[in-house]
Amino acid sequence: MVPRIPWRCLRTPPQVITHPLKPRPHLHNFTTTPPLAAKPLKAKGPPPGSKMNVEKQRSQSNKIRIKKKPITVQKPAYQIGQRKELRKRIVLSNTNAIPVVLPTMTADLIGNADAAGAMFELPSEEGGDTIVDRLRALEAFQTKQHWPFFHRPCTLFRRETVEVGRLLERVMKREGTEDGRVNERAILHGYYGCGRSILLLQAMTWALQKDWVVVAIPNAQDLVIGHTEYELEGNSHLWLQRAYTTDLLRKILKANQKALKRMNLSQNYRLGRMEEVKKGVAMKEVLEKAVQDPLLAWDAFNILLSELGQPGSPPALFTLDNLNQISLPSKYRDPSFNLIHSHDLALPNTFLAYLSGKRSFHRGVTLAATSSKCSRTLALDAALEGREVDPYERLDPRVGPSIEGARIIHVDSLSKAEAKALMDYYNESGIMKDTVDITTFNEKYAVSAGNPKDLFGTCLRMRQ
Amino acid sequence: MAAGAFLRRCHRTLVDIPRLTPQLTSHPHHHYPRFLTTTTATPASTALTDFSQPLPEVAPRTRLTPLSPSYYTGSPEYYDNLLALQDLLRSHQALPTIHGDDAPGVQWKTLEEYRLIIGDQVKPSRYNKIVRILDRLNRIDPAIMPAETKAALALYARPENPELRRRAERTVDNFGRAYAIGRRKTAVARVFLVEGEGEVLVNGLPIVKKFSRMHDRESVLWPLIVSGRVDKYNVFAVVKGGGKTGQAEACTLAIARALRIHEPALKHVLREAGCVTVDHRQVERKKPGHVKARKMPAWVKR
Repeated sequence: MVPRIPWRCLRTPPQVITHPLKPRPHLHNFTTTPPLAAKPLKAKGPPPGSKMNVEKQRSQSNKIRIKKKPITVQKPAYQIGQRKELRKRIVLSNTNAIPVVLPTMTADLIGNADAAGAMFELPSEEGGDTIVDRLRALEAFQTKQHWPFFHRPCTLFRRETVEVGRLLERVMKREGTEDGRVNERAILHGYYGCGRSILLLQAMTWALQKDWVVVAIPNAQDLVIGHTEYELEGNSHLWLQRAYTTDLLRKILKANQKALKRMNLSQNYRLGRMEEVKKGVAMKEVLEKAVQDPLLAWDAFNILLSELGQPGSPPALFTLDNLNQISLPSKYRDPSFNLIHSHDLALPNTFLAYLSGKRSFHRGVTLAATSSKCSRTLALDAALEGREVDPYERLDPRVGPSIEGARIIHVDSLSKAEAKALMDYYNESGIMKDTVDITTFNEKYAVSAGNPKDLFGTCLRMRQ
Repeated sequence: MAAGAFLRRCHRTLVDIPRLTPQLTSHPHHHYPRFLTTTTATPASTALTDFSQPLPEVAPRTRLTPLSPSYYTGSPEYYDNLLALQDLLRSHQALPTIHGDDAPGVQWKTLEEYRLIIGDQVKPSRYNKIVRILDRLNRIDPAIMPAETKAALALYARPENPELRRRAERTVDNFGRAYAIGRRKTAVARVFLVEGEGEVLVNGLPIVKKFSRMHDRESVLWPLIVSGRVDKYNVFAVVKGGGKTGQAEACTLAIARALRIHEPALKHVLREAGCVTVDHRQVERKKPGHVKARKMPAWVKR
């Protein structure tokens, strides 16, 4: 065979005929690398370490729709009420959080001003139902109060806690009128996230420890947004919410077993249309019966309240959160399709009767907390500020008298000592990664302006 | 005048260089020397005498060769100047510098004046390049600034006008208050800053009530946070106009300015934190024929 080289020398290099659209064969015009030492040509596509998805990119770039894989296992549909349950689930402990050893918030701390500015854990040592369980039954804990971040539920003892404690203390010491009737009425009022609901929780904690009867309406909004059934009661011209009342009784029953067992009726009462409960029957039995039948619920609730007004009954704590919600027209309609005023609903009406002093316990505390997550309630704001109302301002005339005489506890921002205690607790629980030194403390205190809700946010957040 | 390498080069490039090699130059007009300043007067006649330079004896040139390497750039004078400055900067790159805020205040020649020096049309963007180099050279520590650089910078500096430079020195008043104004979007904040324990009042309200959003509160206090002075000063702010964000950021600027009256040394820290620079952006106005500022109505066939 004729060697190719001389021919190549003589001839012009042949024109490589290539398709204009196809890539040209790779030709190196000049290289100093010997052919054997040259690296092999790289394969097209991303390097082996890259995260680029070739298939995906190709499909995207060519705009070709590739059929998705059929889903073999379908995610099961939510059961009825499952999503609500997920939304409302209260998680009170976190095993990943670092446990912090703190003193217990016992009942002997009531009204103790020296304890202000320290953290306390909610009491747990008790046979059977713990205080925490009973508080949970009363729905004293709320979501978004950051409970799931900590090993155990703990609270800060604040200046306002002392004030709330003083109310309970006065009732316990019977610093009232001659006949021993003591009633304390107060409204917790402040900016958003200042800890009003937590103060209610602290009051309930002490009341449960002292075996008071605690009646708590955890969120007044539930009463007015038209989600529960309602009916007009002829005698009082009030609208009853039997289903809600049954629910409320169930909570009361669960939280106050011990106190209710000891309470005996002082007289005969009618229960529903037909039944009658005799004098001497334990209150617990009455409530257990009423829980079974919504038709009896409202009567049973009234029996409970009137019994709590009798001498010899245990002290009572009646709380309601989100007072603003019942200072507005409700979403319910009467038969002529007018909006029903919230004060015409039986449960809010009853609570406001206790708050304004029209009705009273034998010994009892009525506590309400305002809310910031509510549309504007100008009449309530004016009443809380206690300012003169301009006659040309068309405010709801029923709201002002409804809270008349109630003490207004202004829940303020945290003081520096309180914020420090809270921040140390966050730090020890492993939530806050920065060390609590004077610089970080000042910075976080200034940004949060001492607001407990925002303080948690600043401590949790990483500085960008 | 101190004659360093730069000046020599400037002299060569800007003063007395014909554009092409002399023996074949056939232009009828002569290049008159251009002086960087009026004081550095070199006799104009030198340009003519330079024509009689002896040529290198390497090889006889057969075609016209430009003397300046920038001949083909379109504006050789400018590029020669730029390259000379870059060379100067490169040779002094390693010298220690000071912060731009501490550098001696110099006003460089205006673009018009620079054009007169160059004798050619110079784009503003090109002059900016020169100014940037000059600024960098000006930041060399004055204690050890070479005489050559000093002389070079002097060529570009405008004579100082003391009338223009006079600015009212802001100080703390009799009550220990520093007063400053800040603007952002359409908000205007007036701030009184006094030494205190870290209380903040905005329009007479505690800050938590005025700015319920935490981000806004952080904005307001940002100058104090970055300088670690949160618990050292009390803020009394009066802010109006605009929305929440604008008001908060107007407060930022005002507090930063007031803080600089108390402690001028914090300027660098505040500048790093972005509290010194004014954000002058405003909402662009809506134009007739547009749906919004820029948006045009959709095209409709008929």
